[in-house]
Amino acid sequence: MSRLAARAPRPSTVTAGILLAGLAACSFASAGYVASQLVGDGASGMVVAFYESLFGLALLFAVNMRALSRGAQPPRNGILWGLAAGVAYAFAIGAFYTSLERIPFSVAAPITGAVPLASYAFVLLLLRGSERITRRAALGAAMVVAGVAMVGVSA
Amino acid sequence: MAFGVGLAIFCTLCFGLGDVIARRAMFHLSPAGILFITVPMTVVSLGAAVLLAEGPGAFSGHGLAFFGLAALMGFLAYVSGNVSYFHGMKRAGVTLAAPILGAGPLFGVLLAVTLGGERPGLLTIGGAFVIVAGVAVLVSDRERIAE
Repeated sequence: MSRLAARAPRPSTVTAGILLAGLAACSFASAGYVASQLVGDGASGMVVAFYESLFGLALLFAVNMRALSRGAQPPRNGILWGLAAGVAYAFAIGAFYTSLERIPFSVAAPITGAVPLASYAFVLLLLRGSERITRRAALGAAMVVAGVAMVGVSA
Repeated sequence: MAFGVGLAIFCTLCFGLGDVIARRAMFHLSPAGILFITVPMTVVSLGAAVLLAEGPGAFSGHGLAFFGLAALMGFLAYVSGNVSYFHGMKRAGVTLAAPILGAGPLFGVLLAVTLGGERPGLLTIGGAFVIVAGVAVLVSDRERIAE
């Protein structure tokens, strides 16, 4: 019993992860709202996205200076996957802010709520065997996407 | 209008792909380590795209207010946004973290109502409830949490 208890996963870790993801959702939505006020006001979506990521990088370095100074050389595999993710995010942010030049934030933002569906499709391709999609997770994701679609249609 | 919607859909696909690739990178790197590789790559990619599409003149001619708001966006998206998301993904997995992030537009609608003065219709309110219910289903996934 005690061994089982020692090996049992900690739901609090998952809960903390869920809360952090919620905080991230609020932060991204706020950044998107500010972007919608900036785009088209003498600057293109790409330029806004560039300066946002440039300032973000500077702030990240400032916050994590100590951790960086004692950081070990990362493995090559990790670097390559990280670089690929960086390019994908650049396409994503650039496309989103460029879309804000043509459609309102209240229309563009709900469309990005379908990211879970896109993630699940790519999980099946790239993370098969290491991440599992449970029925309940699929149902929850479908409900989130349906809700986002309703918000989008009403917008 | 259609092109804008197409761009938003393309953005959605790229975010989904980026999340899964970042999760893959997490097998080798810490969330902070991934940020210090992905964000510079994002800056370089966007900088190159601006140079190619608009030329070097696009970087200049912006006022202090522009840079102040861009810095605020940088903080929201990269410091509190990306850091929280990558740590959340590390703890809960991409299959839980991504749908919760997908509920972000709900917060966006709240901002539009409180700051923009918009009045949501019944469908918007119904959609918001469906999103909250979906997130509740996700966070109560005992099978996933017990793994």
